[in-house]
Amino acid sequence: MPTTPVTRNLRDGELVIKDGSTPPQFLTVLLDEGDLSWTHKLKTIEVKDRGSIATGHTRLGDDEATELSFSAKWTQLIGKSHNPADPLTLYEALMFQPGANLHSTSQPGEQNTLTLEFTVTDPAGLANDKIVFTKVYRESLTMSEGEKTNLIAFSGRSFSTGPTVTRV
Amino acid sequence: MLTPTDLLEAILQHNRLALPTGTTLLKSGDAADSSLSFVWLEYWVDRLGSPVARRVAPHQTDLSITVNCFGRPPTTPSQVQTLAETVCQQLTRLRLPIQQDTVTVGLLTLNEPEMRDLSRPATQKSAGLRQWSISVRGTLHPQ
Repeated sequence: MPTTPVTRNLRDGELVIKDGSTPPQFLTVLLDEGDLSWTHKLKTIEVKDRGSIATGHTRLGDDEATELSFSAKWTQLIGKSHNPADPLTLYEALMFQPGANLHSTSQPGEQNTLTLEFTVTDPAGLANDKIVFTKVYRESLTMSEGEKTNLIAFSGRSFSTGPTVTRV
Repeated sequence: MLTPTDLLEAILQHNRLALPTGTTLLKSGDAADSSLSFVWLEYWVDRLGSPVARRVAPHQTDLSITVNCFGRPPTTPSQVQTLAETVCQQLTRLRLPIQQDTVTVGLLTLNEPEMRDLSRPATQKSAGLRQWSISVRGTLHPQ
């Protein structure tokens, strides 16, 4: 499958959230702002020779979890946790709302985590990329009002050194 | 697919109940002889656009609506202004279900309108004519 040099933008993305159920419950985030962002971090230990870089060296540091964030327009906050006939909402999924019957992707006793799958469709329709973040836990969820729309802003980490990127 | 005419028709129906009986209501495309009326309203959808969004997102439409409110003697300037203010109140933060063939296909939400007095009664061409323009932005949400 050939690659294409066509640039991608927020219109081409699709974010899906999955829990640890078998089969997983999933939620396609339809109203995200298209501002998903993640940062690979690489920790390096600099060993300088009596203050000198020229004769010093580097060593691998500890692994660093991947930071990620996104925001979405706020519609209904709770659905399934209020009425099982209602669809799962973004707020419920990110908050592991009791009653929504969500299962963590990590082992019992660990922090609640989810899987985030971000697919970027090739505008030319040839080579789509799927970026998978595993063991994503929440650090903050900020709810804010706005003149045009209210927003839910997620910030968290994937407990892995980086997402898995595959061609789909 | 909803057309501007569908939206205007829904707004006209909503507004008609609050306006004085006999007020002429026109929407873009309607033909009327203004010399037969002393007061009339013209409704326009003058902007339609889609906000930037994911391809998978439901298709919302941002829009602007303008209502021009005209009156000429014997209608007094204050009557024209009162009529414009009535329209303004009707449009303020309006939530209006839009139907096609008795099926609700969308929800129109409007923000806060802005009124402007465009009257130029002293000019020869529009002698005595009063005009208020009301413009409001909104969003059509699919359902």
